[in-house]
Amino acid sequence: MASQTWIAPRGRHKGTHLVRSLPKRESPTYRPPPRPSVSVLDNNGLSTMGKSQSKLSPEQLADLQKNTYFDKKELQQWYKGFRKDCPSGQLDKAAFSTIYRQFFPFGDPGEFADYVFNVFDANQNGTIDFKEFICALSVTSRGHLDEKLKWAFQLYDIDKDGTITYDEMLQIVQSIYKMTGEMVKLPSDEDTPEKRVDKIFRNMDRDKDAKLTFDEFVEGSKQDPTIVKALSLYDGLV
Amino acid sequence: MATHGLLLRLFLSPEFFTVHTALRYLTIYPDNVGITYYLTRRLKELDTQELTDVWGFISHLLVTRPTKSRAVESFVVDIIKRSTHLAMITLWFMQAALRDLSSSPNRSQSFIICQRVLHKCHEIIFADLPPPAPAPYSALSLPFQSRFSRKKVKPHFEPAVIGISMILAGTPGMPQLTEIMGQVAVEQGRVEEEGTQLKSVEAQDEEVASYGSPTSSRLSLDEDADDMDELEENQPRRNFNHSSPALVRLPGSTGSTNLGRRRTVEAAQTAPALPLHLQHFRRSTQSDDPLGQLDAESIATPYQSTPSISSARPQPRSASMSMADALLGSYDMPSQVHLLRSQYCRSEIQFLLTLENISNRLLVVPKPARVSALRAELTALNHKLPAEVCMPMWCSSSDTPRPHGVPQPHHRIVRIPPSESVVLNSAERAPYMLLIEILNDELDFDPAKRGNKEVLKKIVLKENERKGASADLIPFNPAAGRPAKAEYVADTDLVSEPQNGLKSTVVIETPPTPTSGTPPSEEEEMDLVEQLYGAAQSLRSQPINLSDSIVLPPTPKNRDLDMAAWSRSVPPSPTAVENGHAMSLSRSTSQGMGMPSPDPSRELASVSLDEYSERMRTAAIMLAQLNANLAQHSMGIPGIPAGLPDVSVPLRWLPGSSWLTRGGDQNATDGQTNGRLRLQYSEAAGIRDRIMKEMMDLEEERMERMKENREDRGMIRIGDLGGGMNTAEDEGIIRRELNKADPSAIVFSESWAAKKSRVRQGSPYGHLVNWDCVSVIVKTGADLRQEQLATQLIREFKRIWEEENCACWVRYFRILITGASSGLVETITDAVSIHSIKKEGICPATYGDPSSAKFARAQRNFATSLAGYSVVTYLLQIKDRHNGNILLDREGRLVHIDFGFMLAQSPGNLGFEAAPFKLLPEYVEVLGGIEGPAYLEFRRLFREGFEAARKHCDRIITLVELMQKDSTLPCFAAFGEQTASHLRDRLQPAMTHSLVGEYVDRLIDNSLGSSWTRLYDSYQYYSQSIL
Repeated sequence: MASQTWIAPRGRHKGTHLVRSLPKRESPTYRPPPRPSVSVLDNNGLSTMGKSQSKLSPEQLADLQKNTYFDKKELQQWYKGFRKDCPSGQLDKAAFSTIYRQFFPFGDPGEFADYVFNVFDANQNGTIDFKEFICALSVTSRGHLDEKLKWAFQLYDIDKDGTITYDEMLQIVQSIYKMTGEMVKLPSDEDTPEKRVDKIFRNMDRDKDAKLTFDEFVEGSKQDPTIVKALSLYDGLV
Repeated sequence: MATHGLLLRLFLSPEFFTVHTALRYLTIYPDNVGITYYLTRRLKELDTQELTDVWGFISHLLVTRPTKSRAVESFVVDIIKRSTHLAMITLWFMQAALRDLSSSPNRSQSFIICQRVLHKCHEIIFADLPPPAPAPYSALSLPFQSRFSRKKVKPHFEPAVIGISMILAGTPGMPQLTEIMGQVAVEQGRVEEEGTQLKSVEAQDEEVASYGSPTSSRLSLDEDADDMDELEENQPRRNFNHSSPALVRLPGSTGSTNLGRRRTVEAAQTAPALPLHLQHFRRSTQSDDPLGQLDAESIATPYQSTPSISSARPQPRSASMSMADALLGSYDMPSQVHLLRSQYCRSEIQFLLTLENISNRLLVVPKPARVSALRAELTALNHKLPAEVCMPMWCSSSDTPRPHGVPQPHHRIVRIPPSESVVLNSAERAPYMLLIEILNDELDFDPAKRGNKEVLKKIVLKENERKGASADLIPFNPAAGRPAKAEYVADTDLVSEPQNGLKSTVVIETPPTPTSGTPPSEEEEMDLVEQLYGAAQSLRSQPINLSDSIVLPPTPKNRDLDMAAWSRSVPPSPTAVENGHAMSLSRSTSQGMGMPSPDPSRELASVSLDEYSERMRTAAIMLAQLNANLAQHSMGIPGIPAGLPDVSVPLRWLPGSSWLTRGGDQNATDGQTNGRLRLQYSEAAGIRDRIMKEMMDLEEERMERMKENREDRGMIRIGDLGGGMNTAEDEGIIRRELNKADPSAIVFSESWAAKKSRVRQGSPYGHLVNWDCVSVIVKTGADLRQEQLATQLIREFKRIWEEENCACWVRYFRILITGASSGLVETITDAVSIHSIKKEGICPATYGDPSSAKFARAQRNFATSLAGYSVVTYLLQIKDRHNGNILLDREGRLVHIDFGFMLAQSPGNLGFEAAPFKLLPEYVEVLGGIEGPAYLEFRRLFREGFEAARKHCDRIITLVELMQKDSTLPCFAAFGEQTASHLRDRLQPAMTHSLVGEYVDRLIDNSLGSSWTRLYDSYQYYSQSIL
């Protein structure tokens, strides 16, 4: 039964279900989406992909090649994979957090998923399309360290004002702790979100103003080998 | 849907999380990515030994339950990278499973998983290293591991989303999470898509086929292995490609391909009968060798470890060694560790394969000659030792670094004393028991150790050669002084190699042998032998190539020791005369069979031990031929009574002999019958008897000579006369027992401690403190997987009782599965079957006067074991409990063996043995009668054991539930996936405490009063003459 839901046939029911391939057993009513899902296609240049299109058009390819580190073949492959899991070509928050629930069954990944969603959703239209996804993947797998850090900074800088406040950091870290439940064994000086955020600020907030500037963020992250390692997760793998 | 937070609470509570919990929840939530990866992560934290105990269950889970989550598979792969033992056990498991699965025409998910994991096993065990130039990651982990883990992800959207967000979460929120779940995202991202999966599997077919085929073709009983055969044809080409460079390149110096061969050539000339052709069967049938590829490689190894050869060319040797030093320098430490591990695994697999092949070959040898043939085979094997091998299930090393950083070393197999081996009494198979001497903590993969350095040098030379280093880099003198003989062999190989798989053609193409006057019609005959033995089983083959794994300096080699001993002693004259007689007989025999005569000028006194071994094996071949001939004859002429036992045995079970009975092959059969091979029945029988006599005489002589030597071998001086006499006496016992139909019983009657100390005294390694020995039974032709399941379930009962402080006693014994129809079984030492006790009056011990403390202890032991086995046999419905399957040990305890019928079926489905368990009036008598305190104690223990089993019934049920899915085991045939619920019913989980008391009493009373048990015993008596 698993393999059937996992490898849902492409092309069927196109456009009728947003996340055709996701297991139905994981009931979507578990967590009401904070925002109503937006399934209306917008005009971000890739919206026509909602049709039966199984390949990227030459124009789309050219655009993506310019904006990512992937070549044509890779882009087509990833596009194929994207459409398989997301036949409509658009992904809303509810569908996005459903993915998380498969990987984080012990906690509540909803909040964290929403924050990440906002980072993916570059044009802030409430859905993630292929371009937004592949750009995120491009940066995280093949970007330079600074690029990656810039991208990560966006997650924690919730109000997009260029600095991460203590509260912003706490909100994100809390959402991570909520997501994992107790499945990760943590050292005693990090076993609550507050302790962890305190530690992060101790290490990164050089001027002790309870705010992290982008520079502080970059410098502090580079000095922590565990963070550098986390940033290199996809290096050479994608 | 609620979160599984509560579940996590459970998993986190230390008393709740066990291997069984993990297994149970892996089956409950097979597709839940988060839960499965969490559970396997917890499993990884467990000790390798604990994982080894349940490895069969985990492997079965993996194969039978294809899931969306790749957790179990990546867990298995991680563990086999860690533990060499588990890598090999997985390899064997998957080979066997693949064989089961290949019978169905459709390629199921299971089949694909199986192939994939098997492929991984091969990668891990046999993979070549990346080029010596270290990769950037080699500093972090072993290069081969980093190579695997750097496999790219496939374009899967969902895991990629998780992967990306884990990078976000770790910078800087929770880097630990990125480490854990990032890895999960990567693993899930690597899942192949459906389309590409099939394609990639096809691409692997060539390799995978060769893994799957050996078992089937070795048995050659498989009619349904058609697709395998097709696939198999790809294999020879590969082998050719592998080995040909080595052959083309200066074979005289480093081209050990022909060194390996040359040795067999020499042997062929000293042996009386067989022409050289036979040498090539092994080569030509590499496709039947599961390690075909490996074989080709390990043959291509410098042969410096054999003194006789290397001393002939001292210069190349030293030159090659200095080059080895240089080469070795280009490998970093992790690479060297990998080379050593890989070397160990290859040797190990070949070693066990050799043990199996011996059993297969014994099958075609008539029973009275089997022990002699076995000892000849083991002599040859022993001469390859000590080597880089251990006994996986017996060895406690887990390859995991201990607290101070170094993993516990493996033990090393140093010697197999041939005289301690014996073929066991079996109707249709030839299992045999052997003793293996080991040195504990001797074998590790530390490149800094001196012994390992030597091994490494050989490996890197081989690697270098295989990678096609140009010839001028090697400072050898190519071909100079190379004997023409070897040249010829090399040429032959080049000719015959491409024709692998076309066995008959190979024979025809083989040029005439150096032995002059070979009749041209000989090919036919060789073909017969070859068919008789199954392709890979030429008796004359050099079955193993452990030679390159031998560690030279620290320990003397068994071969040299044996040689020295052998030559020192003068054969006793009567034996020599007898042998001379036998020789002439064998000559006439040879002529009668169209074989070249042995060199008549050869003096018997100069027969070397290797020659002895060769001669023995030759005799075995001739016997097999004669047997086939006789069988053919008696089939054709119905008037002839099948009086001779080994002739009357139906030949169907002979590997490769099915052509004899098949109608389609009538031509071939006729050809044989019309040829020289047509012998009169009586004539053939006479020859056969003479050959057997010769074999036994040879064995006798060997025993005689080796025995004398043992006394003055000098490692341990047996100073007093008594000691020496004891040794002689023991030998006498063994020799006498050789001529009996069932030698096993008597061998078992010697106490294990006594035997061990006797062997230790006779062993050149006996003086070492870490010396030990293990006794195992090698079985082929029987699927041992159900036996293994039974012993594992019994061990679970044992553990439950130990935890509950319950005195119920059962014995666990190890079973190592090496294929769908082969494996090793731990010998239950110090125990004799009740059948033998009754029939032969053998008793493992005397238990003293009924009033003595010794007797009371034995009686108590009897009660605890009877209670334990009563609970187990009832709950698991173990049937076929006749006295041949119940042993009594030296301490008075019962030990049950042979679990061919359990959980559902009973033999013949006759419904005998209706009693809950076997409780004979005699047992009650031993316990002092119905009123006796020991009997009452038994009843109490039974109830206690039953209650404890009920309390922990989930552990047993989980395991059965896990195994019942898609199982090929006969014990699940009747009830299938309902088997576990029947087991649950027997455990009466809902019953109240007071009711259980009544229930248990009823079980005991029913068993006691059952006439069924007695009826079953008499049924066994009449049908199989088991008392």
